[in-house]
Amino acid sequence: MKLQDKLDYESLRRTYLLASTPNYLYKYLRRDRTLEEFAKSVTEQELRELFTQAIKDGIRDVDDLLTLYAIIVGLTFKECSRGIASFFDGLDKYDFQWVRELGAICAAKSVPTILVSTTYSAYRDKSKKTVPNTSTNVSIRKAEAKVQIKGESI
Amino acid sequence: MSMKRESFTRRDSITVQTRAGDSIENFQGGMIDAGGRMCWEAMKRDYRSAKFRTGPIPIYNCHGLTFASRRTAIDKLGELSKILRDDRYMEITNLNRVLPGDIILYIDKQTGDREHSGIVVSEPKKTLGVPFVVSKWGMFGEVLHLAMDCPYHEECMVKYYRVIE
Repeated sequence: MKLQDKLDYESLRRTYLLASTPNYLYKYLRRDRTLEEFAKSVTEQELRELFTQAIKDGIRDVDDLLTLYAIIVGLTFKECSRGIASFFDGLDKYDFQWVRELGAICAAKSVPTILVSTTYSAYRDKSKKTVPNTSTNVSIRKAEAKVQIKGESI
Repeated sequence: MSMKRESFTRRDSITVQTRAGDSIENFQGGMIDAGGRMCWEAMKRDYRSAKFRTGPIPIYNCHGLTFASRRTAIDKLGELSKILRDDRYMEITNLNRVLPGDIILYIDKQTGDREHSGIVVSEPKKTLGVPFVVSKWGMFGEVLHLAMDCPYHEECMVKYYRVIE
């Protein structure tokens, strides 16, 4: 399967042929502008369906293999979900060059973020003492693991 | 042993070991098609000051040239660590002491990944502190080039190593 109108195969081919390691391949595929634009133009579901179709169509030449790579790395531009994590784990069953390795690299790079936001305020009670008034909100978001704490006081 | 040159599936490996007898994971093969050859010709135009020793040879990669005598490709970063340790490579930290025969590693400054390697073929002090090296550019060919005149030097630092005992 080729996505000629979506991806710059000349650029992807050069990256692939220069790569001696899957880490190099991942690093430079991730920087490919057409790959990023393509990935952001479709949904996670569409990317996974494209992958399934590409496998079904068969890998006959380098460009077919590059399509697989583009889809795998393209998913790293999406918010990490269980579906994506499961997809990366599932790449272990494919025997194409560097597909398993790319899956492992992408899985390692896609770590969910936990954001903890806390707002607190103080008020004076009847005894005119300053009393803290706290509430805590927890939300789980995408991409890289990090923790932020925000607070404001009166 | 068959070499699956016509397939994009995992390829055959050969027996390669470190000095200590540890197996080194490797693979042979790969495929260069007409599109790949055109890509190689374009690459050569981008690096006019380099000399291209060979055409594309997909059997081995840069680490296979440096550590496996051009017989196979090594792509697992852990295997490189194993080789450096078992074979007792020592880093040459003084650039003025780097000699032909030493190996050069291109290491990503952020991740520490050893993205590329080659063999030093000239003394750095004779070429303004930058040696000539021979390295294999992925599945493409072998190239004689100044250490910093290649597709791998950006964002990488270089280190030099030698087996001294």
